Amino acid sequence: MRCLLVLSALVLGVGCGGSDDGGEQKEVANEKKIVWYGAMVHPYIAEVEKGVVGYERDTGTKIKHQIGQKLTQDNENANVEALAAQGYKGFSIFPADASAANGLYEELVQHGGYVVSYGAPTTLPTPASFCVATDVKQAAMEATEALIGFMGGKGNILNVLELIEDPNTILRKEGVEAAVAKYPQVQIIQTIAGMESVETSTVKIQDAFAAKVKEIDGVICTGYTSTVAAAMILGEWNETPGNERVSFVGIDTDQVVLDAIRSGSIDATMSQNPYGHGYISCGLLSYLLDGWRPNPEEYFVNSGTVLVTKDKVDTFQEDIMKTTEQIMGELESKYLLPPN
Amino acid sequence: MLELQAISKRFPGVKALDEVSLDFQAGEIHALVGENGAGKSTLIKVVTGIYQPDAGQIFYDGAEIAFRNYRESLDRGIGIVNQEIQVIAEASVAENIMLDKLDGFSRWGRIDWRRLNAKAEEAMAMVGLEVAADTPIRGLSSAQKQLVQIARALSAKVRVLLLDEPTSSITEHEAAKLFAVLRQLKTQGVAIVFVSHKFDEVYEISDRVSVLRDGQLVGSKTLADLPREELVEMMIGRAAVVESYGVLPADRNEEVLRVEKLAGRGQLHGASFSLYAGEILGFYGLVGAGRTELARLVVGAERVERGVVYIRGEAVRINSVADSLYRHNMGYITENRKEEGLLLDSPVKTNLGITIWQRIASRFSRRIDDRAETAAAKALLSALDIRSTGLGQVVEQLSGGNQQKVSIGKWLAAGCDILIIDEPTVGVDIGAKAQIHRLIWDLAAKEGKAIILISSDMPEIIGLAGRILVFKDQQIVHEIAGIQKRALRYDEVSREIGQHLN
Amino acid sequence: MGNLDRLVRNKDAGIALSALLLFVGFSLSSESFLSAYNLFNISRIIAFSAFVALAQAVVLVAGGMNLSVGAIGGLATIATGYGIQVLGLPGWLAGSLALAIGCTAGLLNGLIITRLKINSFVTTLATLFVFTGLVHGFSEGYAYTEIPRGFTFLGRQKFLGLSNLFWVMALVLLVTHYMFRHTVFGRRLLATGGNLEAARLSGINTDRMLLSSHILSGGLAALAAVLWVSRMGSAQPATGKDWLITSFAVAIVGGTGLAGGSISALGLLMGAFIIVLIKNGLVLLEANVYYEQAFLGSIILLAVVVSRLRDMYDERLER
Repeated sequence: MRCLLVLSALVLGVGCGGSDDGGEQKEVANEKKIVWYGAMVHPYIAEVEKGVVGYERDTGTKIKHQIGQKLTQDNENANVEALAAQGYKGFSIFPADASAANGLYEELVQHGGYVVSYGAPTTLPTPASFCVATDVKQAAMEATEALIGFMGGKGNILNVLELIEDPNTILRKEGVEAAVAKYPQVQIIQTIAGMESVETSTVKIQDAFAAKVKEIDGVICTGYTSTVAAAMILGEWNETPGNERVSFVGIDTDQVVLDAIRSGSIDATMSQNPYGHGYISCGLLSYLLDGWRPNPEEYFVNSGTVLVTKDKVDTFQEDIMKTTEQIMGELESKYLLPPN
Repeated sequence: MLELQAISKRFPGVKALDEVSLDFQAGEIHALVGENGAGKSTLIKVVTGIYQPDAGQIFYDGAEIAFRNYRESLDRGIGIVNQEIQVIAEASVAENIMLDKLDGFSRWGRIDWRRLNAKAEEAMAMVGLEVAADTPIRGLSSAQKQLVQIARALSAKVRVLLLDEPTSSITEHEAAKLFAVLRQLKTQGVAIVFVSHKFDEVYEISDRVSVLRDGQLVGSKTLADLPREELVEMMIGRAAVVESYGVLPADRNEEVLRVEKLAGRGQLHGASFSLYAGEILGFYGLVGAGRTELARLVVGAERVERGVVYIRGEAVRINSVADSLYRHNMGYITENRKEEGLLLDSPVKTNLGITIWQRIASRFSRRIDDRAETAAAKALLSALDIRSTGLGQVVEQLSGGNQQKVSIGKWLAAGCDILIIDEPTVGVDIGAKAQIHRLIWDLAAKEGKAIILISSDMPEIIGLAGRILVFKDQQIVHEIAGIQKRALRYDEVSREIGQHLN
Repeated sequence: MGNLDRLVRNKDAGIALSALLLFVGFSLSSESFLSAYNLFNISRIIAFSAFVALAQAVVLVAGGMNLSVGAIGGLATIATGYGIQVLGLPGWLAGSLALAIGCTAGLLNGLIITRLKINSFVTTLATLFVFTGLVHGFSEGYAYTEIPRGFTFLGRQKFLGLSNLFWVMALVLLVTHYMFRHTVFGRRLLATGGNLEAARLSGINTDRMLLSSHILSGGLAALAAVLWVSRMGSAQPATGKDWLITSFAVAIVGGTGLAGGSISALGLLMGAFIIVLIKNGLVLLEANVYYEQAFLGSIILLAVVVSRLRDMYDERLER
């Protein structure tokens, strides 16, 4: 009986935590009614949220933050529809499913709302006004070319993709392959995929790496969790005396990865601009709600990437901030058309 | 030594015990009899702390006791042997026997297997269980498992031993051994409480008998000066009817089932027999002689290796019980009501209706017609005189006899005209037994059903069957025909059977 | 009964034989399979899988199941990370804290199951979400990365060519074998899973057994998590997400029945061996990544079918 009480107290406590937000909503009733929706608890989403907070601080706009329970379109639909029902009009959303998200968007737009996707594009045509994201194919190519540079222009690459279900994975694969195709002395020796957490990534990458350890000269990772796992495995390998150094370029800036770059045990990582994903998407929505119209020619807002090497590890944030500032400066001139 | 005062125990819908006062003496074997559902098992479970009484007191050596669980009871030297076989299948014989005493064999947390096996062997010798102590229990027969349970209780050095129908699944030989052990315990001053259905046993071993009926104590008597008829009368509240059903006119012309040289894997070395409409054919033999095995082969519950089954003159291949039921209207009523025959947690209606769902379901929506099901179940309820609070009562709450009726009823509902009934009256009290006999007789005599009756109860089989097949070592060794026609007397038939069993 | 026959009927022998066949098969078909680096790599993943499976097996034998093994692992992971990075505790103390939290989570499962009489499936399904939510809420998805070098001694160093984790696991499995074979507690736990009613009527406090099995399960899940942190050098909050399938697959392939009542330490080791070899082998043989799950599933199914065939063979012999 006692544990039942504890449990119910727990549930009540969580419930109360939720209702605090409800109070805030009423206060912002006259504000612009912009929602930033993070699909799940994830380090990337947390970085995006920093951008949202930055925008709020810089402009004084209040934005509703909402984070989903899991990365499925169903969950996303349920959460976002609930917010739309409360009168929100501007939606900054990470699409859970590239094509199914359009269904949700359509509904939001029909009710007079505006949607900006961040992080990943949806399939075209889409009701979304903009997509603020990394050009993943471009980023994968740049990362691969950087890796080939570290390898000295020749050798064998282990290509580590991440989630099979993610449509970006195919784009990344194409990017890596396109870069490799430019260098006749470089081959992809094996491609692995199908990892959804640092745990599964660790096991898979470890297996593949062990299988061909003598032949592999470089490893490219184009997913977040696989980069964390690979940074650890290669860090361990490269630090062990007697082992031949294996080059590595990953993506994103998890602390584990940055530490490994700083210590020199891996080469580089491609920083995306999650801060900009949050910042720019909110900026665009703010304009749209003021009556500005999207420039149909500029649907895709490439948020940019920065290659983080040992000498840039402490300063790359500034480079990214500059990219964001630059894009923000171009909003009125490039991405938007003035109100009629 | 142990005294119960006005013990009451209520279960949902039933007053299982109603102010029962009894006393058990050291050095005495006290039989506890009564119809099924009379409250015997409940009583001994209350004594051993498995159930807690709602009212009343229990005194042990003059002091009041109230056990919260069986552990406490055992610690005070009061042990129980349950009717249901409860063993740990993955453990050895010895471990099962010593399960409640493992603590005693532990040194530095490690179990001393050699000492445990030796100790278990002592108990095994007492009950005549002749297997190695470290045999896994999985492969043992149910009789052997029952002996393991008895050995478990005996090895506990108990001062009071309660046995709930300990002989229900063991052979006579094993029972005789058990009785010898009980007598010996008696001379050592152990108080023994013995729950039984079998009067022979009660008279053979007990000093005193107490009769329960509907949760109330009818009386306690010394057995030496108690005539059988009086005991029966105490038990069922009316004098027992001598079973005599007259002559059953079987129609020899209508052969509904013929089996030729049927054999399963390691079962039955080619059995042949015929069954006619309106006939009751008895299968007699000891447990494991091949009676049940043959029945299960015929209805497709086991794979047939060789042989042919003809139904109404046509050779058929029966691959499953469903085949047997839906294609050939042949039903098998299992001896294990609880494990195989009934959905214990489900209401009476479901149990009676289960075999006809297929027929009464709507062809399009596959929805079961509730009204048809209710009507069919209701008809059976009254036809079979099933005592229940209604169609909604859960079968588990019914007495053994009524459960058996439900079990038969479900095959009748299915419209079977060939019924194989396996041990219909095991664990059923005398009153219900007569009713079930009457029911079986009527099914054959009035409705022309062809019935195979499998039984180890000789009066039952001789009283009902027109022909008896005697089974031994997976073979049919003898046929006794025309029992009722020739008006063979009980003694003659039983002697004839006996000759072929030895 | 011939020797061969007895070998076929012995569950462990069958599993060990399958593992051996796989091992030989992969050794012949891939030259890097037997490389020191791969063996070291395999040994630590096996160790880890065996721990996860053991956390499941101890509840399975008692007749229950624990769907929240992974979530408890996640809790223990962030507890370790938080202890070291935020509270500044020494590694051993943070590890103990994590173990204590794991046991407490198991205790909570066990209390709900035994006191409120809610079955283990429903209970642990619910707590799976509760624990996962706590992990998310507490960590907000961030990993704790300031794990000192010393803490990775178990996870990254080796002894006699095999990972230290492997030796820890061997020790724990030996203790497990001993417990279930020779101690009163272990035998009672098995009896409870084998036949709850019989165990209860033999004076075994079955509620206490179920409770203990869940505490043990929580503790082992936490241990697995701590060792994983030691291997990773960081505490990742997503740890444990895919333990559930691993825990069931390894335990069942390893001969721990779903129905309870039986367990084999050697079987668990071999089960982990088989699953890890298959995964490792699929990568080595460059199986099509998009179909990988299907291969793995088929092979697990095959193992279960083989075990079922053996049971049927047994039943036939007993006739």
